[in-house]
Amino acid sequence: MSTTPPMLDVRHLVKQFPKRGGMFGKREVFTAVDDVSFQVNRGTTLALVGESGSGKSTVGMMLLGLLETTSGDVLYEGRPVIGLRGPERLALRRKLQVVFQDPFASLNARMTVAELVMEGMRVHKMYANDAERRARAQELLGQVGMPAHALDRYPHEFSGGQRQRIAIARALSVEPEFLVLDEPTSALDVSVQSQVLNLLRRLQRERGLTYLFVTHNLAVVDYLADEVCVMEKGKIIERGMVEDVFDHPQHVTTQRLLAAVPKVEM
Amino acid sequence: MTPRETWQRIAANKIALASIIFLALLILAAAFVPMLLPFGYEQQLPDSRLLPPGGKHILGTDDLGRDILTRVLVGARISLMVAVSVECVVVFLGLTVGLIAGYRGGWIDSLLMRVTDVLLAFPDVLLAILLLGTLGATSSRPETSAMLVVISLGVTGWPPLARLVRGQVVALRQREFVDAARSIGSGHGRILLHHILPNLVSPIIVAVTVDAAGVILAEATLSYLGIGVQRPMPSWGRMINDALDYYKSEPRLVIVPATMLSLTVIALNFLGDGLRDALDPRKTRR
Repeated sequence: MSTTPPMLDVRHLVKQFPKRGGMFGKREVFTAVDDVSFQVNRGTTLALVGESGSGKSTVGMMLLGLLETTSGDVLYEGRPVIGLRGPERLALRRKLQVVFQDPFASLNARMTVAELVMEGMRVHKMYANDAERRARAQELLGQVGMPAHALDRYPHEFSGGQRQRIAIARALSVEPEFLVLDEPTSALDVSVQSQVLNLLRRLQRERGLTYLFVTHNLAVVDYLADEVCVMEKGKIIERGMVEDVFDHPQHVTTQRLLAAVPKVEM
Repeated sequence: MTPRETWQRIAANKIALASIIFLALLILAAAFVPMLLPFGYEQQLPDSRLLPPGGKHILGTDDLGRDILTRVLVGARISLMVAVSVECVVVFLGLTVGLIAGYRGGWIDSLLMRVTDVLLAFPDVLLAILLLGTLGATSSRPETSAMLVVISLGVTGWPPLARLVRGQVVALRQREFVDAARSIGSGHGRILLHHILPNLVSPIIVAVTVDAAGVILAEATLSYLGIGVQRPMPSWGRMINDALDYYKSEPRLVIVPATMLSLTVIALNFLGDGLRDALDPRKTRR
């Protein structure tokens, strides 16, 4: 572990949902995230791995402030972020962005690509006017490998991989430091998965981005992540550097997830 | 989907296209033809009572010697204007209630939806009759009576739309693109205006088109009962009511306005169906 304070410090995070069908009004709860702690250092990638329902995406949603926490702390650059409101919340949103799993669901079908990529710049009052924002949007699309004529098209005119590139351009539009990547390649064809992963790796190198990479697919973890936390039933059951965990998996679940990885040389 | 694609899809649907053409012709005829005809809608010609169709009076005259074509077209004006005005009120109220209930959720949602349920459990026309009775429509001037019809049908007609909007908003609010907008920093106003509202336009257009048919029928019902649009204003329901004493010997006095009424209602329903299909992004063109 490095001596500088971690960029993101998650301490004893808990999320409980009320359970349906509790008899006689007895309040039962389902614990989706159970005392989860981890740190992510600047410029590195932490993979949060687990099977569906393990609580890994719920952690991501809470970090983004899209879901309220039940208890626990999240420190960003040493400052608590839970319960932030108004301008402070807005300032944090700029630093912390997200790329969702399904680019068909995460892009509003009624907006053009230009509107989608410019939305964040408008909200945060970046650049002097729409012409400059548009130029910036064009620049961003170029950086994620999209053609210039994409600006005035609608998302449905593009393939899944291209849509995910648009979603990445949108996330980058507000100049974030930290990206939550919530299964960013799981909805894509295998052939384009590696292209998007390459893009994410290149962007990390060029911009010094920090990633929290939420996935069930250990094959992509090896490619992108430095450290890995394996989650099961809301708890972290194994953690360590990617090479260590891959070479000496301690937990059965980790071994099973590793066994599911197809042995293909990339 | 772009507006152009939508239009191409509607144009490919023959029944919907026919409905659009019929409604467009009706609107044009209602707007301009009465000006070209030499008779006023309230002008009584004592020497030309109950004339059969033909000659100067293309559709003949009624028992007071009024030109039926003029009256049925001016009646179209009233029916269409009432329908459009009522739908404006319905969209304003239904959208406001549905947006607040669906987006805020919680006790506000419960409260608004219980009010909606109560209103839904009551027959619209009955409620409108009650309202009109209270507002005193029968004793007022024709223009005021039309206004009162609009108010009573608008105030009683919003619950189904509020329900529809609320359901859509609840579903939209959970979509990933709304989460994406929130993470990028968009506030509630921007999310409602740029992400929720544009996705509501299609279902609202469809609902309003079909509902307008119901409003035209409701207005005819109220006018037929004598508490809607007042004499001498010629709404279609009013004309049917006026013709009741003569319909055995002169059935066209009923048939003309009733046919217009039916055709308009059918056209609106077909157009609504066509729009539903055309605006549905899941349906792909053959």
